[in-house]
Amino acid sequence: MEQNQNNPYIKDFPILFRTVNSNRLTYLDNAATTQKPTAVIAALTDFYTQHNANVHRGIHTLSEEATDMYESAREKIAQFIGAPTSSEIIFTSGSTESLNLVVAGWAANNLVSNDVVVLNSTDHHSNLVAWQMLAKTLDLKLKYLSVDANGELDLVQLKTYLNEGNVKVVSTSHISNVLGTVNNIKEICKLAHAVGAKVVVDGAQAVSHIPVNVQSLDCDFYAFSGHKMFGPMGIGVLFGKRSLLENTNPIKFGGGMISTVGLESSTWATIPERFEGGTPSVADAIGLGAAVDYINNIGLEKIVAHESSLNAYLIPKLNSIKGLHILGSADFTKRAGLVSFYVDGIHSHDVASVLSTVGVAVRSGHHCAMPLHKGMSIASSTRASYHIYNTYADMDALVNGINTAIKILG
Amino acid sequence: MEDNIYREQLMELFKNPAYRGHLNNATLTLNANNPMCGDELIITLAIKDGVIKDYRYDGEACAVSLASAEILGEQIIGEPITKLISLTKEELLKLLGVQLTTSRVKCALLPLETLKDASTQL
Ligand SMILES: Cc1ncc(COP(=O)(O)O)c(C=O)c1O
Repeated sequence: MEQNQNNPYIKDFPILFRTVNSNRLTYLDNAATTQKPTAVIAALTDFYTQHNANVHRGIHTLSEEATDMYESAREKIAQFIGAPTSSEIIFTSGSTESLNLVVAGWAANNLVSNDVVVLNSTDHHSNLVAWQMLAKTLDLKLKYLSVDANGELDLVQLKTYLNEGNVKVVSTSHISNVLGTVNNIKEICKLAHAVGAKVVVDGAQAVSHIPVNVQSLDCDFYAFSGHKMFGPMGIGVLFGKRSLLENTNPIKFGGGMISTVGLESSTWATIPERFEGGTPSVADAIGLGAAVDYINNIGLEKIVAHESSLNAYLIPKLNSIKGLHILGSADFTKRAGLVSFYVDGIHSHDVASVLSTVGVAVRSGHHCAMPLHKGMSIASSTRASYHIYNTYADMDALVNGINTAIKILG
Repeated sequence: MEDNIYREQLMELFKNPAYRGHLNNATLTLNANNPMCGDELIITLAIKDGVIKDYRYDGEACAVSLASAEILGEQIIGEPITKLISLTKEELLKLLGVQLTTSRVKCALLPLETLKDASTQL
């Protein structure tokens, strides 16, 4: 039923009722950001109309309410990803800031010259560039994992790197934002931990799409963004194991993160406040809590089944379009709910542009993964990414739009 | 339907280009890149005594960039460099003859801006 127009979740997303260029909006850019359900929008409005106050600062009623709501959102998120305690959940502005905190706060403080960091060559720039910067400052060595034709990470190569010694960190996405590959984090953690290396996971494309439990994965850090999981923009999360957070330096200094301040030096507040200098995005954190409730009400198993049925419907149709090439696994049971492709002789921008004229929103370009595209010798690709509110009709609109683009530009 | 940018005039420029290619006698070679969308053009120019004798462009880019590079050829070949320098963005967009959204304006201006940025080398 969810695959058809009587999908019961569509009504939860007001934006899906607007038109684009006189067509019904077909929103297939969920990997960039998801749309927001009424429950999340209402949580923001409720905060600003009933409870707005700064947190951890006042003893007046509104401040107490705001603090309780903020901390209860943290609690919800901890449970949602299986974190042992809510103090290991740090609110950030998004995956990018979370990963920057790991690099500048933890790695800069714990790695030394000639240590090796293993990265994933297909990853988003946010999990590459900060490491490159630190590598320059500390004289670290970066080694890149490659993927096979199906987009699967080469774990044999990982073992080789780990055996070569000095590996202190393996940092990879959970799900590739271009290939849709679900990386085997559990296995990567097992291998890395055997040589004492820590594992940092960029979960931006995983949370809300597949069940994530940081304890069963046994990862050391896990980063994700609220806006890619029905939550507001401007809020994200870093989970870190407590023992590692204890050895992490704050990267934002100021109010809210101190214990005592003298004229020469200061001491830090406890975890997690230590990492949340300045006034946090309180309303957005509460909105993210509402997004977690929304996802829990649907059930992650249902989301997984829904996305895989959309893959099963769409991918054979795409494969039958002449000149269209899908990036990553041809086996749609092995990918998350997104598909990137290119069409011979037609630039991805033109494909996206024609699609937009019929109301279909997709991403085109390099999706912040330039090394991946260079590695495949293509300049760019077009990406369709789905979530619980997408239907077979959306997939048909996409396929028809691609055929129109080929007719016009081919 | 929005004002369709893939109109006949633009598609004619895209599908039947006169200046796509590479000059062997180039006096100047320029890379026009827009990494955000994956546009990569190589522009070759033959300049003599302050006059643009010939011009070609090639590479991978969207229809808007390519059509715009084509129009640029029509405008500057046989003309003094001063003509290129005085050609404004607005004039070029007008010559393209389609209404562009903000992100596509960047595509359309890529070839012209690349030449203008290099104008000290011309
Ligand atoms: C895999 C991956 N990592 C990181 C990010 C960055 O997320 P944000 O821009 O929310 O910080 C994205 C989203 O663009 C992504 O897809």
